[in-house]
Amino acid sequence: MADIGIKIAKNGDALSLPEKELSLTSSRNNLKMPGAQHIALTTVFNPISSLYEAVEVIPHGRLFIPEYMVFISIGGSMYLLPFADFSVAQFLSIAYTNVTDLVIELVTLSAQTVDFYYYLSETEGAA
Amino acid sequence: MSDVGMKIIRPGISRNVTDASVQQIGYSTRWSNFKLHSVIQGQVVLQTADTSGSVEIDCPIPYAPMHMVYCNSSAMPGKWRYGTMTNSVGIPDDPGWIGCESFYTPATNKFTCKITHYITGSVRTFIFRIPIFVDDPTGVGTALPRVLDIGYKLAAAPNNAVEAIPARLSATSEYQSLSIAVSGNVSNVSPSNLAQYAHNLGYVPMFIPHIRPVVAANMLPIPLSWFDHLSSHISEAWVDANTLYLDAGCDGTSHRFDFMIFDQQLV
Repeated sequence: MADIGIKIAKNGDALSLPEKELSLTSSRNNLKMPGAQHIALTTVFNPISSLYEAVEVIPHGRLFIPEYMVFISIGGSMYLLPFADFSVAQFLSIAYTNVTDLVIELVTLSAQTVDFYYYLSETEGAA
Repeated sequence: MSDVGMKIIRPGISRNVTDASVQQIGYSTRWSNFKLHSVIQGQVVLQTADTSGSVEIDCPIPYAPMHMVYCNSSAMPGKWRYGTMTNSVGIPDDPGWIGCESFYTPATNKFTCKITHYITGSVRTFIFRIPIFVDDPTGVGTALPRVLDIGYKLAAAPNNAVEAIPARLSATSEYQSLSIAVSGNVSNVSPSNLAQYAHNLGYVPMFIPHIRPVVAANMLPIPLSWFDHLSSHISEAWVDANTLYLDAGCDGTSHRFDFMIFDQQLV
């Protein structure tokens, strides 16, 4: 790594440490995360699938497909998506992004209202 | 983008930082970096007749933290995959995965990691590793002590760096920021054309894999299996010390895989 820009280490000599040991360096891009957002989804019965479903389409306003991290809160516990546990919690959920939206899908075996917390990056997923 | 605070141009971008676009900026105090606290580990051993098991791991932070989950199977030494699933993924290299999940419970301040694996007849070991970040998705991360006034700390706007709790800092010398070693994509991945990407870091890195099905513009998570209209895009990804392995199954068509590989060491 060239000694141009900035390199900051937590401990040790930033000039000699590899990137994985640095706290911050201008030689790397970062995820650039705005604060986490919260949304609650309520599932409704779908007579075609005989399951309870919810789909939330959240416009993100970016001109690219952003990286994302989405958590679902069930009974106070936090799960990283994608997630499925029909045997115990009876939830199935997935999230994904496209060039316009973050989409969160939820399937349950009964009507449920569930909290989601999500990060939507200012960095393109595969830039 | 305001010129208040600090912003750093991305490597390889030849442009004045004051008029660079968001995508040309590698870091800015306008946003937060995920700040790595530690990596915790637990192990589940399934005896020859067992099809499921779980382990609890103490969380080093007293609130629901931003985290990622990775899992290793003894059937694939040295290779790590994402530790979440929507349903079974019958990839030939490591068949039998029915369920894989990890969750944080505030009442116990523990992570619980579960594995369901149906191919019995031998002892199987599953190791979970969970990178813990001081960032807090639910916004309650007040219990962690403030970072000492040694080194540097940059607040994520509009917080005050001197008073902000660690979760509200954009970056600080107290914690490593999650930084992107390489991000990119591999096209034309199919069951007959499994793909590899050589990252050559020399250690197992944290990573985020995605699949971009040719029939859709969505960037879907991996591993992916049955999920209603997404059901045909079964996919899996593993990483080891030098290579990212990408595997698409079932529908017979080719897909693009996107990935981010981070500098931070998982193993």
